[in-house]
Amino acid sequence: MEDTQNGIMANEARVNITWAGSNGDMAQPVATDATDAEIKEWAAEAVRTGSVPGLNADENVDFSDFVVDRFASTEVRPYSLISLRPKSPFG
Amino acid sequence: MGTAQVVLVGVGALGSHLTQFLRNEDIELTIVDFDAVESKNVASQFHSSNTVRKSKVQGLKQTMQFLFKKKLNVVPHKLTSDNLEQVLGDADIVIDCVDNAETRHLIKRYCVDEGIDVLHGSLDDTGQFGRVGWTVPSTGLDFTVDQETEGAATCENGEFLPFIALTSAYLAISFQKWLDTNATVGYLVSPGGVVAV
Repeated sequence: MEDTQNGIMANEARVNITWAGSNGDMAQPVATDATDAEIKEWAAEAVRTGSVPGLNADENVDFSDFVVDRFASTEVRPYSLISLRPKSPFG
Repeated sequence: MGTAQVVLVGVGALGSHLTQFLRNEDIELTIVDFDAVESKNVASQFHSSNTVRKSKVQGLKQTMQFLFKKKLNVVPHKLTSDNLEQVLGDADIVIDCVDNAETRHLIKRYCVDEGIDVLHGSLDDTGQFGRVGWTVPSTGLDFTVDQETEGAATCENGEFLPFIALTSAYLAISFQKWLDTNATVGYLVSPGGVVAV
């Protein structure tokens, strides 16, 4: 599998987490075909252990009501991105 | 494209601030909202106390004319399936700043069918997260519409004003990029940082 410029394989994605008013990327990319449930579980573990740069460790982290969005690579971001974020229905 | 025809639906928290952030753009801007300004809106929205009880679009039109000599077209009606064609039909781009999933879906469906790009802005109910995203029929880019939570209140005391304005500013930046280069850049906005998507 061809490597991208950012060390992320074509079948992998960077995971960005928004939690408690901050956001950060998980240190390791995940497979693009990971399920939403798997992503939430891995992200929760990462936040609990304080391994996400930019996010404070939080033992009470809960992503059960969060949304997983998936973004294909672009010219300026040559890797796939998965976003784990709060619901945002208002305007 | 000549002067872009821009239709902004929803001039509450995000949409009212966005209106004033777009004041320097060479566009024909139409704002759409059926709601009236309430006293509590003045704390967190770009509506002034002298427009309380007026239609939001009429009040904003008056404010923009008074402060900036900026002319707006206004539609003081609720967007429904019956008036979609009339309100959105001539738009080069639609900006969605509404506060409910039903109207977002209505806008998306119409614009996908008609090949019109949609710039969406949305907020959570805690003042900790805002989203700027796109629905682009020609590329398949699709904005995920979230269902509103029963009983959740939006900002009523002005506590979130800086964050609302920050998210509106990123909406304006995203719009500028589209206008200048046809780029469709989205943003995940939180008080602790912003990610381009």
